[in-house]
Amino acid sequence: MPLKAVADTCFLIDWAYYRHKEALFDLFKAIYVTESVLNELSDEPVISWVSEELARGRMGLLSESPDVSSEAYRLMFLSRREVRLRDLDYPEAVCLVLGKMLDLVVLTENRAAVMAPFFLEECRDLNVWRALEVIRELILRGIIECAPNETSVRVPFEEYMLDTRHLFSPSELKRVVEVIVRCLRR
Amino acid sequence: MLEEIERWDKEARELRRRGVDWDRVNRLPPRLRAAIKYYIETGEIRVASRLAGLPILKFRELLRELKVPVVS
Repeated sequence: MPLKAVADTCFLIDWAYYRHKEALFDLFKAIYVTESVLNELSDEPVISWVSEELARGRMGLLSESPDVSSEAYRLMFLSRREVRLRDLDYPEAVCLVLGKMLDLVVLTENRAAVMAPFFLEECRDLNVWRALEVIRELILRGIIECAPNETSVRVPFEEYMLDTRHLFSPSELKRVVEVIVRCLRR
Repeated sequence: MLEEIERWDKEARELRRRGVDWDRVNRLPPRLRAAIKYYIETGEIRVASRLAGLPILKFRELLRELKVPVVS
């Protein structure tokens, strides 16, 4: 089944600067943006990119109905009770709720949202991906082509860090690169 | 899992602290300075941008100017 995703602000504001940003639409059939995320986008080039993609139909706007909103507030409340979890904010909580309701991958860089599947029963089956996981998938699915060695696989990640000034944790990057190289060699 | 998260948090905090233009940070107005320091310690961009009184994208730009990396 083709993948669809809902994107949080923290993901979009960096991905918009990535030289391979177009590849996102080879991975996902549609990327949805919520009203509260759209309200946070105010600057070039992010708003231009999102506006163009909304117009082209590769991105879509998801409205926040009262039941989505109330479930988001419930997740925020639960995150504050779970001491191991960072506090969820409303926009990322809405992304989690819509991800769960509509079977969407949640794209975010927000630590609380990334941790939610591990600590909140309600989010257990959700796929929450950061740019790190998105680039991993782009390579594994052959959308970004790499030779099966560490040097080549590191390139798209290094490009992302250079373009966005967003760093990946060195230990996590090492682990992901090793996994990709192993998969590509099979 | 908890240990892994704590290790990651520590690593991310150290990366955010490294390379920061502290001279510029210390010359910021108190509200912005406090927000930047909060961000460096926690990585929580939404709360930090609210502390700064800036939209999240403006705050992200300020991080870029001050060479404070976003880490994930």
